[in-house]
Amino acid sequence: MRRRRALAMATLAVLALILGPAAGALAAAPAAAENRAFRIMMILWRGETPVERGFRWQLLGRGVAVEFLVRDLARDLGRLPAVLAEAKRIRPDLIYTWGTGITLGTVGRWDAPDPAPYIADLPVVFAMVSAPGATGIAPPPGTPPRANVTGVSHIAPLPAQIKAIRAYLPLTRLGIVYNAAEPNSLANVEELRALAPEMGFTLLEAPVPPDATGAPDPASLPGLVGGLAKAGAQILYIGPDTFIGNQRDALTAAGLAHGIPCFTATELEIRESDAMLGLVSPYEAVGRLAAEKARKILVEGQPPSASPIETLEHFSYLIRLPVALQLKLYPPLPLLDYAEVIR
Amino acid sequence: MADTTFKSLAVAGVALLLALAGVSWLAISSSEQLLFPELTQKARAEAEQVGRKVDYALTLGIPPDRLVGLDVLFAGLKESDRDVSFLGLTDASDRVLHAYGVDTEGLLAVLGLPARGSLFEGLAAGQSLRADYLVTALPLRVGTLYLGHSEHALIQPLIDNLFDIAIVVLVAMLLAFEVMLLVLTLNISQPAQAATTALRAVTARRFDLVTGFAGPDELGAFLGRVDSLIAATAARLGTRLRSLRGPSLVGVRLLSFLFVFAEELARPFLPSYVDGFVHQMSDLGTAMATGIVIGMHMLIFALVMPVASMLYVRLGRRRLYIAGTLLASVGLAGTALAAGYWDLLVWRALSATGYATAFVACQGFVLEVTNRDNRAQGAAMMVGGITLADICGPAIGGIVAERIGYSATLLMAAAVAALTVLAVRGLMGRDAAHAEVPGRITFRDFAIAFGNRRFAVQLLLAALPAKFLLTGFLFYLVPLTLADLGNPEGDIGRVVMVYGLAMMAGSPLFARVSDRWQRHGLVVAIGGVISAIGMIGLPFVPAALLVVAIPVAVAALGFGQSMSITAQVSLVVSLLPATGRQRGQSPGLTVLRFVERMGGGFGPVVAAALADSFGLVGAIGILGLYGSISFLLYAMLAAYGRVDAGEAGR
Repeated sequence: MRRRRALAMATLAVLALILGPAAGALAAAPAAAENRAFRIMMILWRGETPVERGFRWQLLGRGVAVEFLVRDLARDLGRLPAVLAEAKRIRPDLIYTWGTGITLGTVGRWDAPDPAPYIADLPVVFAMVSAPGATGIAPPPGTPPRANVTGVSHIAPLPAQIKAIRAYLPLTRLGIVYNAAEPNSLANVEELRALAPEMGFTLLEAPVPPDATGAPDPASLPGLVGGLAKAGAQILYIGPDTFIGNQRDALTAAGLAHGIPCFTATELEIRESDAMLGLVSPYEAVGRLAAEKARKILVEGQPPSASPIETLEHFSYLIRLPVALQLKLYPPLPLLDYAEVIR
Repeated sequence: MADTTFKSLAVAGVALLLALAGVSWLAISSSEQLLFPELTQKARAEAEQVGRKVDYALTLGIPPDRLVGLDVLFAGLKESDRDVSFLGLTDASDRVLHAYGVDTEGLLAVLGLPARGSLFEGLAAGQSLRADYLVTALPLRVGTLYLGHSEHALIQPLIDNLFDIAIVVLVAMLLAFEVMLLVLTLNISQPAQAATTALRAVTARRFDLVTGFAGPDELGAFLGRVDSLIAATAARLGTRLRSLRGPSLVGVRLLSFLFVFAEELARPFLPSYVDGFVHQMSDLGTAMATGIVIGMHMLIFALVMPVASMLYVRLGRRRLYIAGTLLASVGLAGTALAAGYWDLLVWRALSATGYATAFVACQGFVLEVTNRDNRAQGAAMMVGGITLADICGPAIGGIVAERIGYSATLLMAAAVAALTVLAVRGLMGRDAAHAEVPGRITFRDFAIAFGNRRFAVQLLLAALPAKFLLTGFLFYLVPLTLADLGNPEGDIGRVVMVYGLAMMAGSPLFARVSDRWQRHGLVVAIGGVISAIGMIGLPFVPAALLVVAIPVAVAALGFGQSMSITAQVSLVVSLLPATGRQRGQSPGLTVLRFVERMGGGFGPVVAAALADSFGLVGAIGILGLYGSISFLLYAMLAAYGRVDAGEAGR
């Protein structure tokens, strides 16, 4: 009696083992059913970064077989249409996009009137988009999520950034030099304006004026910082702003000259320039989180809309020690418990 | 006679108190010796923790006089350790760079004092006692870090435990008092009373009474002589002898105390304990599943009582009591070792069955040994024992649970219930041949009771809400809310104990009031409103003050219920007088107890349902509102009755 029941149970177990994944795979992922690796097309801006390393390692570590089709645009958005045409032709299982420009070019705004030029029927997972909401990649809160798009933003929420500054020094006046021609940067400034009364600081704005050609003028930076110093700015804020990112050395040097430290929400300004402190997402962790979203779509058959567009839960607090010592703004002891000190 | 008893009890009580105080003092002084090294080690560890951070900052090139955030570190230390009093940093030339919790001069003054010798062993390197501080000095790469701890820290853990010690002393006192009362009554008061009666008869030239207390001790020997003299005379005169020694009721106090105490030990943590089993019951809702387990005890109690009453005649009180306590013991042990929700439910039902059976045995004992004249006194003895258990059980249970955990405490309760069996032979005497059956319930009783409209009002608007508040609030919501707020079991037990204390304080007081006013209905209504009023306010109390407000509400419940319960018994007895079927038993009371216990079983279930929608504190408020409205309605409908005797019960 007991033996017969055990046998029946074992049979059931075996059947479940065979049928379960098979049914799941059939329902979820055509690739698995055909027993081949998933094909992921990676559309990159400036070659491979630590983000892609994290992405690859995460999938490898979870035992997902992947074939990567890497398409590097080498900082030229003009090459994107050709890559998208290829994607529509060979239909990879998933497309990975790097940064705001490529992502916007690949999936368009959520409310784009003509979806024809964009990818609408393949899952797209983006990374390194600083403001998915403000740029229209993500629909506004309260509207249903996009069917084929999810991803990871690398910018910490603004309130967390302000708190990070205040963990180092008291903040009442925050200065920002920004390029008003960039939607990214403008969205960020608008968010700061809204946050200022709420968190009790004054925002001192210095938009970069255009030069004779109409492009933002790098020569104006020292004057703008000087103005902010006169107005009593205690710290300069560097947000997601491509122009300022390119001019990072000029900006931080101007700050140093006036004894004002820079805070940054992106890594380059502190790793490769002279910002004093930063609250940033480690690139590799961004890649890992994006990979986790890709895995759920490919292996578990979850629709992209079920996976929220989000930021990391933990950010790295970076302190550039030589700058702090030069400005005689010494980091508080409690910070040293968790901050990464760049010597 | 009673006066002598109380004098000797008072003397013994004082002696006991002194002994306990001495033991406590010894415990305190020996624990100081144990605690001192712990304190010094803790101080050292804290100093090193700060020192490491400062050292790291110095290696980064931060100048020692420009260190930022030492004040934050100091505040953090102080938050985790109340005994930290100051933090200082000096440079290589002993100049004070930073001082927190003390100013620069103060720090220099303390450091300038000579170190005192310590009473205890355990000072680590760099530590010294100066003024009232334990000072830990830690040399850094530049200068020295000083951390000061208040020496009062040594006493702190003891003060934390003082509550527990006080409770243990109180309970030990109460128990010792019980045992001494028992011993004195059985060995001195009763033999002396018997001797007085027998000798009075002799002086009246009647030789038919012997004391029956002959024994090996002096008193026994003396009474033996008296008895044999009387017996010899009686033999000459040819009179029949009657012994004055009957079963003594005093034992019922301890017997009813013991089985209730075993059950009450689990009171402060039972809801939390059951909570650990209900995750498997997702379809029921966890709060509901817990409420059912807590409420079921009362329900089973109501259902088993009539059955146990039927067995009373067949088994006799002693066997019934033994069966009850053993069942309760097995039930409690099973509860401790339960594996899942359903078997937990079964074990709880078993222990409720045992509880009800023991209860019936004690009630029957009171009925058998007393007659009309002293029945109320006998019932009061049993109620006294139960109230005492209501006070001691939760308090001790909470303290024990904090130290050895829930399951071990339940096992201890099982052991208490099992050991009770040992006390039965001495305390209950032999089973009598005639037996008056306690509280058997018949359909006729129900017909009589519900045929009386006043009685129905009494039941639905006063008796049921009272039990609802007791089981829903005190047995279910109070332990859960306090646990939710992060209170340890010992504190929860002390809060639950407040109910018993308030009952004990209130009962005699209000019994007098209610008899003087002759307005039992009014007293029931006032008491009811008082009992509910404290609960209404709780949702409006800020969470931080709930720890104070909940005990106040529990005290109000105890006071109010002690007021209405005594009056209600008189009222029901006068509403439905005994039909002569059984001496001294009112069918109304039997029905009342049955119905209110059944209702009490639903208290925790309803409370759980409310807690699901309105939160724990919200549920308390709604229960209080329901109670108040119901009692106010009752007050409007009530007409006032006469006074009559009471009955043992809760």
